[in-house]
Amino acid sequence: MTTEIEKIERRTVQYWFQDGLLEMAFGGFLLLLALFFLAEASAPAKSGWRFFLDVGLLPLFIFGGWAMNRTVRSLKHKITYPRTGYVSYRKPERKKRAARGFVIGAAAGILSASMATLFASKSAGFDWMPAGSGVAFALALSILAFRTDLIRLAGLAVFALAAGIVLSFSGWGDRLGLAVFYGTLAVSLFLSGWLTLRRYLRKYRLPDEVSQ
Amino acid sequence: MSADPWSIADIDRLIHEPARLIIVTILNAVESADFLYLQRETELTKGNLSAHLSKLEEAGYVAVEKTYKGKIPLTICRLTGVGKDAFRSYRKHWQAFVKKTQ
Repeated sequence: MTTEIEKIERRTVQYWFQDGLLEMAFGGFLLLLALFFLAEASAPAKSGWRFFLDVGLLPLFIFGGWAMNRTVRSLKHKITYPRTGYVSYRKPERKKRAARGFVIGAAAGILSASMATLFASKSAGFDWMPAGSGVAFALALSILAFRTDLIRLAGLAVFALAAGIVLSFSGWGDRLGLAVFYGTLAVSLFLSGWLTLRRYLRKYRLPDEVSQ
Repeated sequence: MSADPWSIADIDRLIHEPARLIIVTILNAVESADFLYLQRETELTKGNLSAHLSKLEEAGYVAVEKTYKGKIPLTICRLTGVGKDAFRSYRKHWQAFVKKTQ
């Protein structure tokens, strides 16, 4: 019975990913990042435009994260909740959030330090940035896939890793390589989300549509 | 450890009923859920789900809030503190019973 209880709990967590909206919105966010790195790659070094872009990365992250969150919530209210019901997830306790933040921070720090050491030892230097990003995304998507038991997220993790490694060998350099990496990942996430949403919309109709 | 079959008598019978156990498990995993979500997940009829929710509400395990979203009625359910404690205790008792009888 405990296993059944765990299954129900897991399915409740999966519900957030059932419609593919998060993947589509995250794909949109990554597309923004791809455009950012494309602009960086085309901007002349030490130019005012380049400086503006360098400074703009953090606000872009903050705005992108906020916009992604708002978009997903708004779409869920319009698409998901009328079809399959409303669920509000519990926010983790402050202590747990702090502990999680510490673990994520430590992991990011270790990963950044490892990447910096790796890049410094390679003649290609920052050309390895797409591979590093691929490893980070693969790790994050794998953890999510494990927690939610969703195989498509594991597939995306493998794709992110492979794309990062392949693009590091492409010779496009760090910025253009990252632009292509984020662009590729954005398209794959959007595609995965769109297919999931299409399946969801076919399976679950609005109550008005069902009664007709 | 000897098996005591009567230790199962300590189990919370209100939660132990399968439909109510599913309802409480779902509500324990979230902050709140609406009637439609619970109905879809439990596969109960509206009447059955209402009856189970009423029993859980009477026991103080579940709080039911009836509102409107536009013109559509919206019934939001959440597990109360008493309900969370009861579910935690139920799981503990059940696990102990299974362990004893294995």
